[in-house]
Amino acid sequence: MPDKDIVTPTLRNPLGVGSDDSSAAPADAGQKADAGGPYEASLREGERLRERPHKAAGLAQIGRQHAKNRMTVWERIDMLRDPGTEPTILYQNWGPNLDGASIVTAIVQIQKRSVALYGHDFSVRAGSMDATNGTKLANLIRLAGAQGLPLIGMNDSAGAFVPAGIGGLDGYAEAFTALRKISGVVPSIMCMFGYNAGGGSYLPRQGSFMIQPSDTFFGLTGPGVVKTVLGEDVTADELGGPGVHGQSGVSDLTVKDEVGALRTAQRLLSYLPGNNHEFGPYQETSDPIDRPTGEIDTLLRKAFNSPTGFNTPIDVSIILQQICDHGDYFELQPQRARNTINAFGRLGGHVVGFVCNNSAVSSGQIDVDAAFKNSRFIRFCNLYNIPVIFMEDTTGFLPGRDQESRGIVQAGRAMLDSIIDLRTPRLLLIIRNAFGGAYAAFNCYAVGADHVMALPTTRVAVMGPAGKEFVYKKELRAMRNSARARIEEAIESGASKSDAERDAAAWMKEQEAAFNARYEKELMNPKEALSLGSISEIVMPTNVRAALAKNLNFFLSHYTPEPLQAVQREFH
Amino acid sequence: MGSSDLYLNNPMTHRDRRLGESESDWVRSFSCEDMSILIVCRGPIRQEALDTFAEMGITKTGILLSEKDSIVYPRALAPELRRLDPSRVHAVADYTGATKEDRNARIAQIIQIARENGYEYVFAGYGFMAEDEEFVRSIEEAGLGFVGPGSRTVQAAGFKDEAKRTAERVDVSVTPGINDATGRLLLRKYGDRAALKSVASKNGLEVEELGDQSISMDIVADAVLNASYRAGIDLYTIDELAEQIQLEVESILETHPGSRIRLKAIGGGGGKGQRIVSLADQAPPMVREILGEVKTLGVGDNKNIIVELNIETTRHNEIQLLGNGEWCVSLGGRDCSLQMHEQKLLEVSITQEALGEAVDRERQAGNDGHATAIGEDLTILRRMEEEAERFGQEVELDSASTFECIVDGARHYFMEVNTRIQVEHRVSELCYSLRFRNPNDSEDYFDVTSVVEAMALLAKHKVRLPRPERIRRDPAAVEARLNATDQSLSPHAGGEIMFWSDPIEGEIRDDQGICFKNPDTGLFMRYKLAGAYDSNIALLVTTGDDRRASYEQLREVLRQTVLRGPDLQTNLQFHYGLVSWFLGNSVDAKPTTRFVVPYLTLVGELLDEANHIDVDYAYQGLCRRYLEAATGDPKAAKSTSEVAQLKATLLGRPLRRLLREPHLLSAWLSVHRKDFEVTNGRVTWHRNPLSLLTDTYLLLHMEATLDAPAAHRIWEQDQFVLDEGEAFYSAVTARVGDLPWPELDALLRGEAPATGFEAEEWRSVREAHFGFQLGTELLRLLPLLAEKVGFYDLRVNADLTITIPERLLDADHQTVMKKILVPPPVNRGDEIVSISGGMYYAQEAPGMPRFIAEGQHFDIGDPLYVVEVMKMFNKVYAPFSGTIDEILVEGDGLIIKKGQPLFKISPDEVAVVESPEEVRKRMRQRTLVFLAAINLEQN
Repeated sequence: MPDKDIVTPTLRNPLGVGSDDSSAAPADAGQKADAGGPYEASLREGERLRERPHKAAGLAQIGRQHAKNRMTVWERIDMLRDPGTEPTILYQNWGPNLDGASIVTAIVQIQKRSVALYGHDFSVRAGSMDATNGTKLANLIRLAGAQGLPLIGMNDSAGAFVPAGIGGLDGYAEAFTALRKISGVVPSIMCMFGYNAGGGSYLPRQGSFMIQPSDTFFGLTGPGVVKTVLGEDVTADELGGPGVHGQSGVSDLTVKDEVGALRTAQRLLSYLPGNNHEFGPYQETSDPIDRPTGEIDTLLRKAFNSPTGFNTPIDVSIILQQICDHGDYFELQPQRARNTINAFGRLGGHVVGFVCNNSAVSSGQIDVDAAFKNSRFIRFCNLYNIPVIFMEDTTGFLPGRDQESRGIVQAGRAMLDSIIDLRTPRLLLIIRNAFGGAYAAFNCYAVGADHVMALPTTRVAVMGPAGKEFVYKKELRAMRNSARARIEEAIESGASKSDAERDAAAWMKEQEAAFNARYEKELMNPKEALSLGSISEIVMPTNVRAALAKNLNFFLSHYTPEPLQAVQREFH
Repeated sequence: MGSSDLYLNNPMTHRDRRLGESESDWVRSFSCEDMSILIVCRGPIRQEALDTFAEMGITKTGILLSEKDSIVYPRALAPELRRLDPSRVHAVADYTGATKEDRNARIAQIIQIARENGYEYVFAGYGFMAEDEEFVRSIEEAGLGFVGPGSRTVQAAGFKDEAKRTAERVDVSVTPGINDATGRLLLRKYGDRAALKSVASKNGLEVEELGDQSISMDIVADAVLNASYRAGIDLYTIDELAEQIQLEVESILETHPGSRIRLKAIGGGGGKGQRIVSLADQAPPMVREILGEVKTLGVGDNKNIIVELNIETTRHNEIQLLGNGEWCVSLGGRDCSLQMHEQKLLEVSITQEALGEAVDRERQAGNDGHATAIGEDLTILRRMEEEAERFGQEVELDSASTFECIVDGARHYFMEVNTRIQVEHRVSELCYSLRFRNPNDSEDYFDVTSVVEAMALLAKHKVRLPRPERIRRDPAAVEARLNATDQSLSPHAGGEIMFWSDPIEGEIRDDQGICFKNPDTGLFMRYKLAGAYDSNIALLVTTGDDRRASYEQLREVLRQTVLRGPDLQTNLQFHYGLVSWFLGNSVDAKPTTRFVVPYLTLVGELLDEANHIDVDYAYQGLCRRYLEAATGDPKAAKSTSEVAQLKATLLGRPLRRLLREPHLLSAWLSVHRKDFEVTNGRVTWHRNPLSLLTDTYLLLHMEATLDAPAAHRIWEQDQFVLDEGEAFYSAVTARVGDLPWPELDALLRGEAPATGFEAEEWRSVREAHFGFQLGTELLRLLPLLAEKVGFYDLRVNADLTITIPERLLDADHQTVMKKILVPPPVNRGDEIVSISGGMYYAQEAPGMPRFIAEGQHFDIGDPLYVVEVMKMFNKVYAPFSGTIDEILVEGDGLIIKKGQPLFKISPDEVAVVESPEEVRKRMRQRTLVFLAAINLEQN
């Protein structure tokens, strides 16, 4: 015995009722030893089994998860489900330890819809994957596909469970396969919690949308391995944080924290159909479908009458907001390539995908990032029966060495193909610029548009102002020749060579400006396109919502939501 | 959902106001249902007016929608539109116009909109136009009704000189002083009209007024002076003027002994040409200085100097008035002293009844000092209300207005009248309603409970309305302005609200409809706080049975309010801290208008200190000491280590938040100041730290019972420890008695069992006590930090004035602490590079001024240049503040590459490079200093 008075601390109340029970911790609340026969014993065992997945980790592990400011999988489910509903937990005790094998699969009610849900339980073996839970996950995914339920994944896994050996890898492979097979059948939303590497990243990216909170990492492998094999010193956040993935588009949405991620998932889900033979959730609206869009009129007047005239950038999301029911919309990939805006909104209650050139960012040019962003979004709408409204205002694809080396040809092609493949109702509204290849690629009639409309400010042309070189080729050559003649004349009449040249240059600049003006007046307008039937109608700015709603309703009433049945093309 | 109903059907503000439904003919005759009103303002008042008019049965109400409300920013669409018929929304470019011409055009446009759409009345809320005499007159001349004070009232009460003359006439207290020292000098020097005449003719001055006997002498003197200025001659010397000023100062000091006097050159401004003196003979030398400063020492310059009482410790009080031109009633007062840079933050009701009750309460409690101090306010309020009603009657006030005063100790002075409804009107309407009684039948009456409602009634029925009685409603009300500002209260635009918790019972939330959810989906709609107007987001108002209760309710509202969204910053936490400070000190304290900045500075000091504390390190340090103490007993050591591990989040989580969010820390220190004592750098608790911890979670809005995501609540296993601990201590006290904490603590640590305990049981009691208390020492960081900073130096005195320590008034220190609260963005480099390739332009369009020049300072967000990319002109804004040293690109239309240096600059804030290791080392060293002052709660 030590001579000093050492007290052994405890967190149990020795004076409480039933305090003789040595385990007052909630983990063992079900273990109270009541009397009774074998029947009672089996009931008690049943209760214990039901509780086991919730309590298996023990307080210390749960505390560790909480110390990282992360919720347990059960707490996450609790937040996601509709209040007052009970999730149906599937394969509750699957696994040798009867603890659910570190992954929870369930059917939960969200916004009164049944949703298939899985979440790793990080407090049990760090949410790692083995053969057992790989199959368990695959079963849930297959169930979602078979029943036509949207899938939500809450990924929080350290990766394959190493002691499980190849079993863990097989587990992943089975889940990969299941998820790929439901891709295009039911949509999925993947929340990225914690620290997911390898298969833990690939699997969720097979899903439709990824949502990543701050202070999380996912990627091929973590900074430790990177340091070992490449000698690169990099933090987890720099390697695979939301800043990185939000910019590359690997994460569709980045948020502040887990709560933000789950709320964003709920919000996104409110626009998604359950499967590929349904429409997105229709929501009757109190916003009149013929509400005048006077604000679009004001916006354009203000922009185009400003000192920079028709070259003034416009934030297209303001037009988007005027079109949507009550101005509400949900933007995807808002952290990147905002020269194009992809958003879900509702028009007359119908879910619509919007694909809009945004001249407020990088002139609304279509670069590699914008093209892939669009193509990905359009393909999603195509698979899930979501009509698409395109809004065009771009001077074209962005040229240059940087873009070519990054593969703008392939990226632009991907966008073009996704538009050609689009089978859902698809409208085009031209706001201003629609030049050259961008016009041809961006949902014109020839690539399959259902209806093409144009604001009076539309400028459809083969080229921007540089097109004057082709249109007025002869006249320009004559003008330039006469400039040479002017120099000679001036020198003959006694002017110095440099004076003569300067005068002639000034004259030429004037003439070029006049050609520019003429080109803009004669060719940068909707008239030729109208005369060729490339544009169906001119829509006045105050009438944009009404015109779009009318056409959308027409084409939707002749469209049956069903799975896409099409030949597989060579490229995505 | 119930709480969502509270937003749309709040019994405190929403009710059926249709007089047309009454059974009384007399009451029905005041129906307003056929009014048609165009609302020409924005902000929370617009939604309030829409609601109130609808409740009055008015079906035809329209609003103006400005460009900033619709097309300038995405997701900033006026939320009112979600509920309005589009035909009731009328577009205008803006509400006021930038220039005089714009404004006239806007007035004409508003009149045209009203006419074309059949609106008979115009309501301007508290917008710029509301007290614009020209606007109001134009509305009236156009034959429309104005819901608000008419142009006559605006002119008589709103124009400052006229209002001051009226005030003097009806014996309203105005700031003592004179503004005609030179005229008085002339009269003193020349005595009578004849003398003045002769001096005028001697100097060849033609002064018509001299011949007119009906004109009073002071005006004649003024006329003579003006003639002398035109002629470029002096009728008095500077010495004579100095002597006159000295006499005037003497005379004011006689009636206001101990005061200071402000001297102000007539041609001064912006703080120039002003001096403050406390003795009359200090004045003469100051006169020369002042005149020199504003350069009026020359012959023939107007050298007049205003002499007035310097108001030292101003409090801002105001009286809510309502009148119909014949009668005028006061609806009590509001104390609006808590403000910053002239922006009000917290507005508190003051009524004679409530102050009277407070005096009685304090007297009964034996606080004669407080009773006297509150009694002083009661006297002032009584006088202000009497004067306000007198003044209102005199100017024939015909709607709602506010009579504004400053209060200095036991004196008050009238400042001006705002001839419009004010933002904080709710505070008054919640304290008093108006009862209009049939003159022929005293049982036949109706009550009006809203200022907006009263204004509409007055606009329609004017003199038909009999003088109402005021009926007491809630004894006290208080309003906090929720603004989009950062932790240091500077405006912060651009944030988006994605989530706003539903209002709680007893909360009034005037937010212009932001919380009105998407009518189709029921989901909260994102709302961008673009900052196009002012920074106000909403007004949060609460009531109570006395001021303390209204503050407590406001604190509860602030505690439970959750606002989330990207880049969102508000003053919610500031208010929480501030209201807690007053609750912890005294809600009857008398802060002056200069209270907020020193308070913020104090909060900055807290953060400055807290920034150096590493909570995890401190906790590890404590745990190590516990383990050392258990050396030699492996079982005890193991348990110690387990318990320490289990309690890590319970203790660390709230502590980390308090140290990171200084307004919360201020709230904690204010609320819990009586729960501890710091003597000689040692903390003694007055209550069980474990229950203090429970309260801390509550203060942080993390209590277990919340209907919120688990991540926003105390973790379940942490709550389990608190519950178990609470059960333990209540079981213990049930057996040993309700001892004061230090005694109980000592008892439970002692080896000797308390009476009635067996040795074995006592051992387990000691083990539990030790376990529950283990690590709570971490909480001592908070009192120690307050002690180090001197948090309690800012305090309320016995007479309810507030002592502000000198250091918090130091302007430089204030600036430094502001930067602690909100570190400005720093820049490492000395260049600004192009954000993209394209064509460079130095100005928006040819012929327009360049954005920047060499040597020029730029603020964050200022436009720097335009880059044209494929015929689009993109304006580029400064990412931080600094000064342009050199412009590296010359000429317009130059092709630039992405990343090309454009300007050499010196940033205002240069990054101090400190490696993470250095930061950790510095924090640990400072944490150790605190740790050294903490004893383990162990024998």
